[in-house]
Amino acid sequence: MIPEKSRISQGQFMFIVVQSQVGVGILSLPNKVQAIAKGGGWISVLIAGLAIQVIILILCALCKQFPSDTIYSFLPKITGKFLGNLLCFAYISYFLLSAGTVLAKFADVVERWVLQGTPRWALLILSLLTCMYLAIENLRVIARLFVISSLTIIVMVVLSLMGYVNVNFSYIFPITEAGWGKIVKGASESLFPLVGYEIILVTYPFVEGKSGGKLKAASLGNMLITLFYAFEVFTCLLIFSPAVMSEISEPLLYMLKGFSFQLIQRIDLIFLSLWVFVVSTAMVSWIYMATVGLGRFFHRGEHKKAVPYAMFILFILAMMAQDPSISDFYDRMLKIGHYTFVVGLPLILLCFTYLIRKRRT
Amino acid sequence: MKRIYCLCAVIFILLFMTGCWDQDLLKNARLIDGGGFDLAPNGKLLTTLVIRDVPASEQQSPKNDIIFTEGNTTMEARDNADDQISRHLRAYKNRIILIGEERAKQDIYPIFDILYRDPKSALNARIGVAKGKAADIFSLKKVGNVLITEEIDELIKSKEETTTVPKVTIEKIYPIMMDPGEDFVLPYLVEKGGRVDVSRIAMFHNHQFTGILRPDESIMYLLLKDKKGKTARFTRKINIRNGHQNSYDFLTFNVEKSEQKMKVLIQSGNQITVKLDLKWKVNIIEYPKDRLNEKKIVTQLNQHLSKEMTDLAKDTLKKMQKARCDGLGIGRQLIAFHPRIWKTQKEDWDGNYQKVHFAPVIQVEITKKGIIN
Repeated sequence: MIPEKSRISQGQFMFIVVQSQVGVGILSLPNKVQAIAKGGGWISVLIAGLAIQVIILILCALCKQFPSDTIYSFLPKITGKFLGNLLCFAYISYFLLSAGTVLAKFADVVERWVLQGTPRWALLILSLLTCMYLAIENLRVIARLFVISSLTIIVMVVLSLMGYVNVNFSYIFPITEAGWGKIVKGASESLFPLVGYEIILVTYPFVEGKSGGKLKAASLGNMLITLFYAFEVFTCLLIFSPAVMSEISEPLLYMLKGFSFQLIQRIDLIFLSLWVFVVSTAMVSWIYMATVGLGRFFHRGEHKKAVPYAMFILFILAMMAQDPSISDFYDRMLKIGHYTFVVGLPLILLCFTYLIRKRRT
Repeated sequence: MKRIYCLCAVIFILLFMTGCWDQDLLKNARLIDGGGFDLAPNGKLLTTLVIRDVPASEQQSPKNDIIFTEGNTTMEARDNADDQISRHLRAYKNRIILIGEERAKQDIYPIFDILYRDPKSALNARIGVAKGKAADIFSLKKVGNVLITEEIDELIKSKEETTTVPKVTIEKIYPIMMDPGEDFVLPYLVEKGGRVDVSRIAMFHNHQFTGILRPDESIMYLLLKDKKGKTARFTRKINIRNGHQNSYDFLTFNVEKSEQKMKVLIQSGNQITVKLDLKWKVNIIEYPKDRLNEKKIVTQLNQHLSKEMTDLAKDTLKKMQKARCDGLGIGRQLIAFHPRIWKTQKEDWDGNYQKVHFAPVIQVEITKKGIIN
């Protein structure tokens, strides 16, 4: 059973979904989605959000069947012990790879924008130590910090609003320039910065309340983030003309670089320091997902003990990703992993459980 | 006891973990305050860098140091300058970039590449085109008691408020520079008897300097673009009856409020017509002839000014078309709202832009006249 001290409320659950979804991907999302969907990029993000909503429905329906089990304990129940445990390890490696990619991308951005002279290992160790400090706690502590760090998102929205002094609405027209086919393709691209909602699979049993409320909380979290992403993409599309958009890889930061106040000249630097917070929460949620699994297999359910060596794995993964060909390989693996482990497999499992239930009754 | 050990360890680690890789101390830096780019006789880039030296004691005022170097690119020239001065050159606090007329006649994007690429550059520096050489303007060193870079920066800033020159920073022109459907304009600086004059606009086409607008045309252009600053003043001759010229014949007014509507229409045979409707509410600032309390006179003046201003708008637009400067972003409008037309026109947009028919109509309405009649 779930111990009392790691239970979380539905509000906290919502913020967990929010914080797991927002990561380093948003910084470069406008550039990537514009390359495919042109002025309709913001529609792509909304479509991606809808698609995720459907996936969340599937995941919640699956978790609802096993109200007190995480994915690691219900997988063996459905597929049998051997296959179930094998799948659990697949999930653990997917989660670890996700965390490693987020870490590597974040280190890339920081290296490029702020700390050009700092060696990569120092950046990685510093961010991993911070993450470790949080990841060894129980879920309730993690959830509380996630709630606080969501304030950073509001800061981001306020800062982007300042960009509207200097926008040109004609940059997004014609909205369907690329065609609806491309806009949908753009949606599949913007799905990846939005991943992280998989945390439902692991934290679902820890949430108090009925399944309807849990679904609502997760959906609300996803909706907020989708709107936030769509807003940011929309703002960037208005500020940068299409030709510039393809030149700058982190439009969001570039936009902030141009703003200046009497007191602060470079908002992007200050913002990036705040953003560290948000990125590390995303990383913590991936690490938590993976270590819960590792803890179940090797440490009798204590995920805390799995954190140190998980960190070591992440460090190696992120060091390797320095080479662009390897980080591209990670991206491809993640895409495949996402579609199989978060979309395909849960759907199959869900059908399976329904069939089993039916046969029993 | 364990806690004390722990604390000692933490302090010890912190002592050795200060940010040493990326530290860049201000005392080791020479800050660039302004940069000028001219064409050297051998075709290279002649760079003028103004360096601000902050004195150690507070009583002394800061001083400028000026260095001239040559290089093929902006960065090479800057490195050459770095060879000649102590400590490191840093451009975090750059305030102004001036481009000499001759250099501006070539593509100016290469000058800016380093500024966009370098994460440490200051994107909020202002840009201007200098008549003659940028080096000559910076060589003034001081205007009155004010350092040259500060003077130029503040001057352009105040001229932005009077709608004389556009609000342009390195960051703001980036999207426009790269866009095929729009051209940018920059303030045009003239050195006059030891002072700097900013009242004109330099027009660009394809990143190349192609012409200048007169002061009143500059204001008109900014109003046509709906980029009014705080004030926008015109002085016109009111010659209702032909008499000899005296100072009673002139009127100065300020545009209080300007409503702009731009419509791009496509007529048969792909003729592009741009309708510009502006409605101005103006405030009479100076009119020695007086008698503004008579309604008839006011209506007459309204009509007269409307006509005068419409003519000025036509002249301005004609001049811009001659310079091939698409400062109003007509091409942008075509891309956005008439993509099919744009596809046929984009090959030869330079020529086609000159064939665009502009139909500006300006309605002037006098609403205020100060505290006397």
